[in-house]
Amino acid sequence: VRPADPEESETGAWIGHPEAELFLAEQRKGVRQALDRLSTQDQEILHYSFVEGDGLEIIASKLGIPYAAARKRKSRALERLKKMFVRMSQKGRP
Amino acid sequence: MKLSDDGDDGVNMVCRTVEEEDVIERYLAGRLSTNEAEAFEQHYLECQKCFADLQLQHATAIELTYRPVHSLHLHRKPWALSLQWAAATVAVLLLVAGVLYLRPHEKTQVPAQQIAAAQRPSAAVLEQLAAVDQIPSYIPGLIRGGETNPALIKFQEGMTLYSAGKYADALAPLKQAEGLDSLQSLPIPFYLGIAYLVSGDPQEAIAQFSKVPRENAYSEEAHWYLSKAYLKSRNFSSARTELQTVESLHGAHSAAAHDILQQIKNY
Repeated sequence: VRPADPEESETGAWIGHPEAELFLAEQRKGVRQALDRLSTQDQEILHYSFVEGDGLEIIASKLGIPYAAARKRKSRALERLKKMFVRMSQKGRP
Repeated sequence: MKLSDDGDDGVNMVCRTVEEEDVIERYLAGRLSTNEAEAFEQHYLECQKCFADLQLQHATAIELTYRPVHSLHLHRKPWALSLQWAAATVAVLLLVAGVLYLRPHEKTQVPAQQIAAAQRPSAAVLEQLAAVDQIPSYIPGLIRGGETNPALIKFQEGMTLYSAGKYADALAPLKQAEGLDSLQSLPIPFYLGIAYLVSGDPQEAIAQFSKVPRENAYSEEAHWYLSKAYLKSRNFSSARTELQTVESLHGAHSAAAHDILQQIKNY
């Protein structure tokens, strides 16, 4: 599902399309399963980044680690999430 | 942000910039400038990889919002956690020892009904079970361009107030948006339900949550918050039905739903 073309759509907004909503629900199911399999450390850094909206400097200071380490840790957490998500999606296929 | 120039007409963005500059997180958090957001939108509409990343991170941002924070032990050092466990273990042992010491030697028969009544949670505990610990945050749509849609304009007006914690103030614009949204394409009933619930009107919240369609991205949360609204109204039978649905979905609230079901089983 791709976001509708703003010129073709009434609202042009992702949230405004039932098809996208369905896709998002499906996506969230896979993400949830993937998150369940991530370590607490990975979940923690993703929480700071996505829920608290922290930049890497803040994340680094919260975790008490250097900026470069925070960047690496976050990027690895995202990679693992992506891999796990793909694995979960393939598992769910008939 | 470093963007490669594309003459006077605008800017182009490349995948490397998206990755190195945390563009997706900043886009989702609304922290990009209009030019940057437009450049990214232009890019992801043509780049399958970045679009897939955006979709995944959008779903992740929403899913993480519903994940209980306490399970992450944020900011805690490992030794602090061990100390807590040690303290909890000592407390439990002392409690068990105390109960064993004080327990009467002769058992008395207590009617089952009395046991059930005694096991019912107090009014204060019920209030706690019905409380909304975490109010769902709102992540705006990913593409702009709906400026002419009156329903979307009202919805966004309401959600701005909602995001600022002004739930009672958000009710009027959201109600107006609901009236204008003839296609029922916006997640208005869900957020109206939340706004009513935290504003102290569980009956209206129940009416709104009941409108959230099944198979909607918000349906699982709608069942969860609907159960909270029923608990607030002391409608235990309906709360139980909703909690059983939440439990069966094995989502973020499944364990909490199970716990509440155990606590209200005698109602």
